[in-house]
Amino acid sequence: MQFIIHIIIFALIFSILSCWFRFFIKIKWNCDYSYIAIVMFSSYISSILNTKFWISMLGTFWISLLCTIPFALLVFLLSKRLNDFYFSIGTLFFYILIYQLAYNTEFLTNWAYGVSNIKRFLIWDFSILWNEKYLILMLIISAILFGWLYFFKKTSTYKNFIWRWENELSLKSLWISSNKSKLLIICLSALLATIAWSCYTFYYCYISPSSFWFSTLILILTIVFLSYKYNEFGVVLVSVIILALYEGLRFIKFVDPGKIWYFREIIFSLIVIIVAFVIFKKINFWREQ
Amino acid sequence: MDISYILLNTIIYWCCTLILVDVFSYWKIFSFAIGSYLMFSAYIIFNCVKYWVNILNISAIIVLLVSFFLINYLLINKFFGKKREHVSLIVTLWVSLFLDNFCNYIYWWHSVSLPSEKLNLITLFALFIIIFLVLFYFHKVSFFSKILSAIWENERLICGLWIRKNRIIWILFWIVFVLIVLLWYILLITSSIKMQSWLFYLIKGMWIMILVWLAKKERIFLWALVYVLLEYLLFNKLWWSIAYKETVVLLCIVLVLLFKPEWLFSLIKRKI
Repeated sequence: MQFIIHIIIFALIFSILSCWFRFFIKIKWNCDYSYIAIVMFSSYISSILNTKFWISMLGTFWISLLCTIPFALLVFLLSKRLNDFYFSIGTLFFYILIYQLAYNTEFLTNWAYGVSNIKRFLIWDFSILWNEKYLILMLIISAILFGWLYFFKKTSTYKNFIWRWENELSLKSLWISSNKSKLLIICLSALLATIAWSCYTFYYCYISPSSFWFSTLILILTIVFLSYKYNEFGVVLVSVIILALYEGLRFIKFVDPGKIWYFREIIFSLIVIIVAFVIFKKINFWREQ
Repeated sequence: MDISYILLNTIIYWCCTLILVDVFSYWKIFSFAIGSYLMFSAYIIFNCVKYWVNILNISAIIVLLVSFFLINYLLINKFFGKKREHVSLIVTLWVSLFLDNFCNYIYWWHSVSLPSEKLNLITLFALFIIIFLVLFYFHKVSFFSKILSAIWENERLICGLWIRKNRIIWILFWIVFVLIVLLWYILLITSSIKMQSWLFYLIKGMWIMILVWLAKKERIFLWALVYVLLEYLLFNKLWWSIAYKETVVLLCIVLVLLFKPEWLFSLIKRKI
């Protein structure tokens, strides 16, 4: 039962992360890797605020969101300078830089590899010690977020933003700026990234640089590519299946327990490679745009 | 100042950058897997030398050849233009992770090196001259490189005329593969390496690509030398922490991408 609860919590966290990631891919076939950089940054802010200043989960979320806004501005600047494939490369290097910096900031974590002893209290003294209660919290957060996303995507504001980003070049030739829509979408992605990874941080009560290695991206991209044609509910379903498989691979008997991590990464990177080839081959690139 | 250390590192970074530049300028794909091919082939050769050819090494060789030739062949023949750029970025990143984890899975994670005496300065100079002459001949003198440039720049026209370009593709694959094999040999006999270092060689190669913004391949060696001297000065003489090495390079790459992205990507413009 605990395993099922763990899978559902994990799946909800990753589905929140994935749904906005796939939004970027759908607009411009850009993988915005800075998303993971924002996730990492907000996670460290939340955990350090919690361990050093005893700030609750709700409090750390708002402060880390404020701190990630400058990050969002950097990504916005990158999007102004680079387009298409080059934007993906730029954000990828941005992500690797933040990952490296996580190794160089040991003075913040009392010279430990990661941040541990994160206390799971939602607000003031109200703690969430049991996984069942955390599951209820995750269900509430997911329902609010996905509900909001579902209705937001039906509004003309959203369609206007998408249209402006997709037709950026035409708008530029007419001297119409699409900066506001870009900035808003990037800030929204920062918000979702902060929410998702705050939930992750307070669930595991420990984070380290290895939590944000490419293996996290493997999971997110697998979910994104497999749920490309589905709506938000489909994303959650695909996340549950993928993460059940990911966690279930731990229990394989014929693999040396010390090498299970590598075995899982091999399987999932193979899945991403095959799915990427199939999906990119099938879609009509220009029509999708 | 250790001249052999400087010259050796220059040759290594020069070769890494040249491979990145060739792959990017001829195939128009940004291959994140180059570092992993390098490291993985080093591990295979180390294990073949130590344990001879066994089932494990044969399976590793097959995986390396399939991942290099098949993946690149599919990327070049099944995708064109922007699709190739996007899918190559995703696929090569995961190929590198696949190889990283596969290598750790079958060979475990320890570092490897082949025992040998330190290469003397004359051998290093001779090595450098040979590589430089071969590459100079290929890029500047031979008509082959001009044919390659023409093919990649007029790819759609060539496909539309049903001209088969496969033989050219395979020749270029083999050239890049031989360069990779040469590089791992130099790495193995001069230092110990770990599979996890694939990303660092890629980052340094990228940084030198930026330094070559004038798009002249002959200058790659000079800028690799400048980089090695800077690295030596900062981290050996001024005693900056080695932990900040990659951070500094990455910070510079991100700043260049923010303010002068053409420095990195101007290499795609080729002149016949």
